[in-house]
Amino acid sequence: MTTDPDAPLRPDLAAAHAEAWASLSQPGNWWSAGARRALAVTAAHVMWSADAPPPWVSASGVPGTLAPDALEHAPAAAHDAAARLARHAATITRETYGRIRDALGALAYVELVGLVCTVAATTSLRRSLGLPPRDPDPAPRGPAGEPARTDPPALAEATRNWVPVAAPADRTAAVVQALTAVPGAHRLLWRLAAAQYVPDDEMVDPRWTRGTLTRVEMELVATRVSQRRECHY
Amino acid sequence: MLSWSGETQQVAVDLASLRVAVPHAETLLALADAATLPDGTEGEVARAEARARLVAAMGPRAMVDAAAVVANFEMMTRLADGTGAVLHSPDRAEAGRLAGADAFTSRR
Repeated sequence: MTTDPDAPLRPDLAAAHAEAWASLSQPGNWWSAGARRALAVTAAHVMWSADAPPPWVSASGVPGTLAPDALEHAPAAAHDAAARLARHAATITRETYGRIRDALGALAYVELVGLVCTVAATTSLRRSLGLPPRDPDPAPRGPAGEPARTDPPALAEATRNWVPVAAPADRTAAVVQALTAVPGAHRLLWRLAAAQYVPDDEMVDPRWTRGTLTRVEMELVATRVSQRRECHY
Repeated sequence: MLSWSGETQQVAVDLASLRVAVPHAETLLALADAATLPDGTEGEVARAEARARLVAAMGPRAMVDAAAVVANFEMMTRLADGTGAVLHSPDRAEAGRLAGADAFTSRR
Protein backbone atom coordinates (compact mmCIF):
# COMPACT_ATOMS: atom_id res chain seq x y z
CA MET A 1 0.00 0.00 0.00
CA THR A 2 1.27 3.48 -0.86
CA THR A 3 2.33 5.45 2.16
CA ASP A 4 1.31 9.09 2.26
CA PRO A 5 3.90 11.13 4.18
CA ASP A 6 1.03 12.78 6.04
CA ALA A 7 -0.43 9.41 6.97
CA PRO A 8 2.48 7.12 7.81
CA LEU A 9 1.57 3.45 7.92
CA ARG A 10 3.21 1.28 10.54
CA PRO A 11 5.40 -1.35 8.87
CA ASP A 12 3.38 -4.23 10.34
CA LEU A 13 0.14 -2.68 9.07
CA ALA A 14 1.58 -2.06 5.61
CA ALA A 15 2.94 -5.62 5.42
CA ALA A 16 -0.32 -7.24 6.56
CA HIS A 17 -2.29 -5.24 4.01
CA ALA A 18 0.18 -6.00 1.23
CA GLU A 19 -0.17 -9.72 1.89
CA ALA A 20 -3.94 -9.45 2.14
CA TRP A 21 -4.20 -7.47 -1.09
CA ALA A 22 -2.03 -9.95 -2.99
CA SER A 23 -4.18 -12.84 -1.71
CA LEU A 24 -7.20 -11.50 -3.57
CA SER A 25 -5.75 -12.61 -6.89
CA GLN A 26 -3.94 -15.74 -5.73
CA PRO A 27 -5.47 -19.22 -5.72
CA GLY A 28 -7.14 -20.31 -2.52
CA ASN A 29 -7.93 -23.78 -1.32
CA TRP A 30 -11.38 -23.92 -2.92
CA TRP A 31 -11.46 -21.03 -5.42
CA SER A 32 -9.10 -20.41 -8.33
CA ALA A 33 -7.08 -17.23 -8.58
CA GLY A 34 -9.32 -15.97 -11.36
CA ALA A 35 -12.46 -16.69 -9.34
CA ARG A 36 -11.08 -15.00 -6.23
CA ARG A 37 -10.11 -11.93 -8.21
CA ALA A 38 -13.51 -11.71 -9.93
CA LEU A 39 -15.38 -12.19 -6.64
CA ALA A 40 -13.19 -9.57 -4.95
CA VAL A 41 -14.04 -7.07 -7.70
CA THR A 42 -17.76 -7.77 -7.23
CA ALA A 43 -17.49 -7.45 -3.45
CA ALA A 44 -15.54 -4.18 -3.60
CA HIS A 45 -17.99 -2.64 -6.04
CA VAL A 46 -21.14 -3.60 -4.17
CA MET A 47 -19.60 -2.84 -0.76
CA TRP A 48 -19.15 0.85 -1.48
CA SER A 49 -21.44 1.66 -4.40
CA ALA A 50 -23.96 4.45 -3.88
CA ASP A 51 -26.57 2.42 -5.78
CA ALA A 52 -25.92 -1.15 -4.66
CA PRO A 53 -28.86 -3.56 -5.01
CA PRO A 54 -30.91 -4.17 -1.86
CA PRO A 55 -30.45 -7.48 -0.03
CA TRP A 56 -33.46 -9.14 -1.61
CA VAL A 57 -32.18 -8.57 -5.17
CA SER A 58 -29.50 -10.82 -6.67
CA ALA A 59 -26.55 -8.69 -7.70
CA SER A 60 -25.96 -10.85 -10.77
CA GLY A 61 -29.38 -9.91 -12.08
CA VAL A 62 -28.79 -6.16 -11.99
CA PRO A 63 -27.16 -4.86 -15.19
CA GLY A 64 -23.87 -3.11 -14.57
CA THR A 65 -23.30 -4.60 -11.11
CA LEU A 66 -20.87 -7.34 -12.16
CA ALA A 67 -17.79 -6.80 -14.30
CA PRO A 68 -18.35 -7.91 -17.93
CA ASP A 69 -16.20 -11.04 -17.50
CA ALA A 70 -17.30 -11.86 -13.94
CA LEU A 71 -19.30 -14.96 -14.80
CA GLU A 72 -16.42 -16.44 -16.80
CA HIS A 73 -14.57 -16.97 -13.53
CA ALA A 74 -17.17 -17.79 -10.87
CA PRO A 75 -20.86 -18.75 -10.93
CA ALA A 76 -23.63 -16.24 -10.42
CA ALA A 77 -24.46 -17.77 -7.03
CA ALA A 78 -20.94 -16.99 -5.81
CA HIS A 79 -21.11 -13.39 -7.02
CA ASP A 80 -24.52 -13.01 -5.37
CA ALA A 81 -23.14 -14.38 -2.10
CA ALA A 82 -20.10 -12.10 -2.30
CA ALA A 83 -22.36 -9.10 -2.86
CA ARG A 84 -24.64 -10.04 0.02
CA LEU A 85 -21.69 -10.48 2.38
CA ALA A 86 -20.13 -7.26 1.18
CA ARG A 87 -23.10 -4.94 1.55
CA HIS A 88 -25.81 -6.66 3.58
CA ALA A 89 -24.04 -9.14 5.83
CA ALA A 90 -26.30 -8.32 8.77
CA THR A 91 -29.32 -9.58 6.82
CA ILE A 92 -27.90 -13.08 6.29
CA THR A 93 -29.98 -15.65 8.12
CA ARG A 94 -29.39 -19.33 8.76
CA GLU A 95 -31.74 -20.04 5.86
CA THR A 96 -29.77 -17.71 3.57
CA TYR A 97 -26.58 -19.48 4.61
CA GLY A 98 -28.16 -22.86 3.93
CA ARG A 99 -29.10 -21.90 0.38
CA ILE A 100 -25.62 -20.54 -0.37
CA ARG A 101 -23.95 -23.58 1.20
CA ASP A 102 -26.06 -25.89 -0.93
CA ALA A 103 -25.05 -23.97 -4.06
CA LEU A 104 -21.34 -23.49 -3.37
CA GLY A 105 -20.33 -25.99 -0.68
CA ALA A 106 -19.67 -25.16 2.95
CA LEU A 107 -15.90 -24.82 2.71
CA ALA A 108 -16.00 -22.74 -0.47
CA TYR A 109 -18.44 -20.47 1.35
CA VAL A 110 -16.11 -20.13 4.35
CA GLU A 111 -13.26 -19.17 2.02
CA LEU A 112 -15.58 -16.65 0.33
CA VAL A 113 -16.37 -15.07 3.70
CA GLY A 114 -12.63 -14.68 4.29
CA LEU A 115 -12.19 -13.14 0.85
CA VAL A 116 -14.95 -10.57 1.42
CA CYS A 117 -13.51 -9.79 4.87
CA THR A 118 -10.16 -9.11 3.20
CA VAL A 119 -11.80 -6.83 0.65
CA ALA A 120 -13.56 -4.98 3.48
CA ALA A 121 -10.36 -4.39 5.42
CA THR A 122 -8.15 -3.39 2.51
CA THR A 123 -10.62 -1.14 0.72
CA SER A 124 -11.83 0.48 3.94
CA LEU A 125 -8.33 1.50 4.97
CA ARG A 126 -7.58 3.01 1.56
CA ARG A 127 -10.82 4.99 1.56
CA SER A 128 -10.34 6.24 5.11
CA LEU A 129 -6.83 7.44 4.26
CA GLY A 130 -7.99 9.15 1.07
CA LEU A 131 -6.07 6.81 -1.23
CA PRO A 132 -7.59 6.08 -4.67
CA PRO A 133 -9.29 2.73 -5.33
CA ARG A 134 -7.26 0.10 -7.12
CA ASP A 135 -8.01 -3.16 -8.88
CA PRO A 136 -6.60 -6.45 -7.61
CA ASP A 137 -3.44 -7.65 -9.31
CA PRO A 138 -3.82 -9.86 -12.40
CA ALA A 139 -4.54 -13.48 -11.50
CA PRO A 140 -2.21 -16.23 -12.69
CA ARG A 141 -3.69 -18.46 -15.39
CA GLY A 142 -3.36 -22.19 -15.92
CA PRO A 143 -2.12 -24.58 -13.25
CA ALA A 144 -0.59 -21.75 -11.20
CA GLY A 145 -4.04 -20.32 -10.67
CA GLU A 146 -5.82 -23.51 -9.68
CA PRO A 147 -7.09 -23.99 -6.11
CA ALA A 148 -4.97 -26.20 -3.85
CA ARG A 149 -7.88 -28.42 -2.73
CA THR A 150 -5.87 -29.78 0.18
CA ASP A 151 -7.81 -31.80 2.70
CA PRO A 152 -9.38 -29.65 5.41
CA PRO A 153 -8.59 -30.20 9.08
CA ALA A 154 -10.90 -32.50 11.03
CA LEU A 155 -14.18 -30.61 11.10
CA ALA A 156 -16.98 -30.29 13.61
CA GLU A 157 -20.41 -28.75 13.70
CA ALA A 158 -20.42 -25.70 15.98
CA THR A 159 -23.13 -24.22 18.17
CA ARG A 160 -21.51 -20.78 18.08
CA ASN A 161 -21.42 -20.54 14.27
CA TRP A 162 -23.50 -21.82 11.35
CA VAL A 163 -20.43 -22.81 9.38
CA PRO A 164 -18.35 -25.93 10.12
CA VAL A 165 -15.16 -25.29 12.07
CA ALA A 166 -11.98 -27.19 12.86
CA ALA A 167 -12.51 -29.70 15.66
CA PRO A 168 -12.96 -29.37 18.54
CA ALA A 169 -15.73 -26.80 18.15
CA ASP A 170 -16.81 -24.12 20.60
CA ARG A 171 -13.62 -23.96 22.64
CA THR A 172 -13.02 -20.35 21.58
CA ALA A 173 -15.16 -17.34 20.71
CA ALA A 174 -17.32 -17.64 17.60
CA VAL A 175 -15.30 -15.18 15.54
CA VAL A 176 -12.04 -16.89 16.50
CA GLN A 177 -13.18 -20.29 15.25
CA ALA A 178 -15.22 -18.93 12.32
CA LEU A 179 -12.69 -19.53 9.50
CA THR A 180 -10.72 -22.42 10.99
CA ALA A 181 -12.13 -24.84 8.42
CA VAL A 182 -10.02 -22.98 5.83
CA PRO A 183 -6.69 -22.46 7.61
CA GLY A 184 -5.20 -20.10 5.03
CA ALA A 185 -8.14 -17.72 5.32
CA HIS A 186 -8.04 -17.96 9.12
CA ARG A 187 -4.34 -17.09 9.32
CA LEU A 188 -4.63 -14.14 6.94
CA LEU A 189 -7.58 -12.62 8.77
CA TRP A 190 -5.94 -12.82 12.17
CA ARG A 191 -2.71 -11.31 10.87
CA LEU A 192 -4.80 -8.36 9.66
CA ALA A 193 -6.62 -8.13 12.99
CA ALA A 194 -3.36 -8.03 14.94
CA ALA A 195 -2.04 -5.16 12.83
CA GLN A 196 -5.29 -3.21 12.62
CA TYR A 197 -6.58 -3.63 16.14
CA VAL A 198 -4.91 -5.47 19.00
CA PRO A 199 -2.39 -8.36 18.85
CA ASP A 200 -3.93 -11.52 20.26
CA ASP A 201 -1.51 -11.69 23.19
CA GLU A 202 -2.52 -8.20 24.29
CA MET A 203 -6.28 -8.62 23.93
CA VAL A 204 -6.90 -9.05 27.66
CA ASP A 205 -4.90 -5.97 28.68
CA PRO A 206 -7.14 -2.87 28.78
CA ARG A 207 -4.08 -0.65 29.18
CA TRP A 208 -2.34 -1.89 26.02
CA THR A 209 -1.64 0.82 23.44
CA ARG A 210 0.59 1.53 20.47
CA GLY A 211 1.18 5.00 21.89
CA THR A 212 -1.50 6.58 19.73
CA LEU A 213 -5.02 5.50 20.69
CA THR A 214 -5.97 4.20 24.11
CA ARG A 215 -7.92 0.95 24.27
CA VAL A 216 -11.06 2.91 25.16
CA GLU A 217 -10.61 5.07 22.06
CA MET A 218 -10.11 1.97 19.91
CA GLU A 219 -13.23 0.33 21.34
CA LEU A 220 -15.23 3.51 20.77
CA VAL A 221 -14.40 3.42 17.05
CA ALA A 222 -15.04 -0.33 16.93
CA THR A 223 -18.44 0.03 18.55
CA ARG A 224 -19.51 2.77 16.16
CA VAL A 225 -18.56 0.77 13.08
CA SER A 226 -20.38 -2.28 14.47
CA GLN A 227 -23.48 -0.15 15.08
CA ARG A 228 -23.32 1.31 11.56
CA ARG A 229 -23.18 -2.22 10.15
CA GLU A 230 -25.94 -3.39 12.51
CA CYS A 231 -23.78 -6.24 13.72
CA HIS A 232 -25.27 -7.77 16.86
CA TYR A 233 -22.15 -9.79 17.66
CA MET B 1 -15.31 -4.42 24.94
CA LEU B 2 -16.00 -0.68 25.17
CA SER B 3 -17.74 -0.95 28.51
CA TRP B 4 -15.05 -3.34 29.80
CA SER B 5 -12.16 -1.11 28.72
CA GLY B 6 -13.90 1.99 30.09
CA GLU B 7 -14.60 0.33 33.42
CA THR B 8 -11.06 -0.93 33.85
CA GLN B 9 -9.61 2.44 32.85
CA GLN B 10 -12.11 4.38 34.96
CA VAL B 11 -13.51 6.17 31.91
CA ALA B 12 -17.23 6.92 31.94
CA VAL B 13 -19.04 5.13 29.11
CA ASP B 14 -22.71 5.52 28.22
CA LEU B 15 -23.43 2.74 25.74
CA ALA B 16 -26.94 3.92 24.91
CA SER B 17 -25.74 7.28 23.58
CA LEU B 18 -22.16 6.20 22.86
CA ARG B 19 -20.88 9.08 24.97
CA VAL B 20 -17.42 8.35 26.28
CA ALA B 21 -15.43 10.65 28.55
CA VAL B 22 -12.28 10.92 26.44
CA PRO B 23 -11.13 14.23 24.92
CA HIS B 24 -11.48 13.42 21.23
CA ALA B 25 -14.47 11.07 21.25
CA GLU B 26 -16.53 13.11 18.80
CA THR B 27 -13.59 13.41 16.41
CA LEU B 28 -13.05 9.66 16.45
CA LEU B 29 -16.76 9.00 15.90
CA ALA B 30 -16.76 11.44 12.96
CA LEU B 31 -14.06 9.38 11.25
CA ALA B 32 -15.94 6.14 11.86
CA ASP B 33 -19.15 7.65 10.49
CA ALA B 34 -17.46 9.12 7.42
CA ALA B 35 -15.55 5.94 6.69
CA THR B 36 -18.72 3.88 6.52
CA LEU B 37 -20.49 6.16 4.02
CA PRO B 38 -20.83 4.84 0.45
CA ASP B 39 -19.03 6.29 -2.55
CA GLY B 40 -19.93 9.82 -3.54
CA THR B 41 -19.04 13.39 -2.89
CA GLU B 42 -20.67 13.56 0.54
CA GLY B 43 -18.60 10.68 1.84
CA GLU B 44 -15.35 11.91 0.32
CA VAL B 45 -15.80 15.36 1.85
CA ALA B 46 -16.74 13.90 5.22
CA ARG B 47 -13.71 11.60 5.23
CA ALA B 48 -11.35 14.43 4.28
CA GLU B 49 -12.75 16.64 7.03
CA ALA B 50 -12.64 13.86 9.59
CA ARG B 51 -9.02 13.03 8.72
CA ALA B 52 -8.00 16.66 9.01
CA ARG B 53 -9.75 17.04 12.37
CA LEU B 54 -8.20 13.90 13.72
CA VAL B 55 -4.69 14.78 12.55
CA ALA B 56 -5.03 18.23 14.12
CA ALA B 57 -6.33 16.79 17.38
CA MET B 58 -4.28 13.62 17.82
CA GLY B 59 -1.63 13.53 15.10
CA PRO B 60 -1.20 11.57 11.85
CA ARG B 61 -0.22 8.30 13.50
CA ALA B 62 -3.37 8.28 15.61
CA MET B 63 -5.45 9.06 12.51
CA VAL B 64 -3.97 6.07 10.71
CA ASP B 65 -4.53 3.83 13.71
CA ALA B 66 -8.16 4.97 13.97
CA ALA B 67 -8.62 4.21 10.26
CA ALA B 68 -7.09 0.78 10.88
CA VAL B 69 -9.61 0.07 13.65
CA VAL B 70 -12.40 1.05 11.26
CA ALA B 71 -10.96 -1.36 8.69
CA ASN B 72 -10.79 -4.10 11.29
CA PHE B 73 -14.43 -3.81 12.20
CA GLU B 74 -15.55 -3.56 8.59
CA MET B 75 -13.83 -6.95 8.41
CA MET B 76 -15.04 -8.43 11.69
CA THR B 77 -18.69 -7.48 11.26
CA ARG B 78 -18.79 -9.40 7.97
CA LEU B 79 -16.95 -12.30 9.57
CA ALA B 80 -19.45 -12.50 12.42
CA ASP B 81 -22.56 -12.08 10.29
CA GLY B 82 -21.34 -14.23 7.42
CA THR B 83 -20.54 -17.20 9.65
CA GLY B 84 -23.54 -16.90 11.96
CA ALA B 85 -21.45 -16.06 15.00
CA VAL B 86 -23.42 -16.27 18.25
CA LEU B 87 -22.53 -14.44 21.43
CA HIS B 88 -21.93 -16.84 24.29
CA SER B 89 -20.87 -14.30 26.93
CA PRO B 90 -23.72 -12.95 29.10
CA ASP B 91 -21.72 -9.77 29.81
CA ARG B 92 -21.28 -9.01 26.14
CA ALA B 93 -24.92 -9.78 25.42
CA GLU B 94 -25.95 -7.27 28.09
CA ALA B 95 -23.60 -4.64 26.68
CA GLY B 96 -25.11 -5.23 23.25
CA ARG B 97 -28.59 -4.73 24.68
CA LEU B 98 -27.55 -1.42 26.25
CA ALA B 99 -26.05 -0.27 22.93
CA GLY B 100 -29.31 -1.02 21.12
CA ALA B 101 -27.98 -4.03 19.24
CA ASP B 102 -30.94 -6.24 20.13
CA ALA B 103 -32.94 -4.38 17.48
CA PHE B 104 -30.51 -5.37 14.72
CA THR B 105 -31.54 -7.91 12.10
CA SER B 106 -28.35 -9.81 12.84
CA ARG B 107 -29.42 -10.71 16.40
CA ARG B 108 -29.21 -14.47 16.87
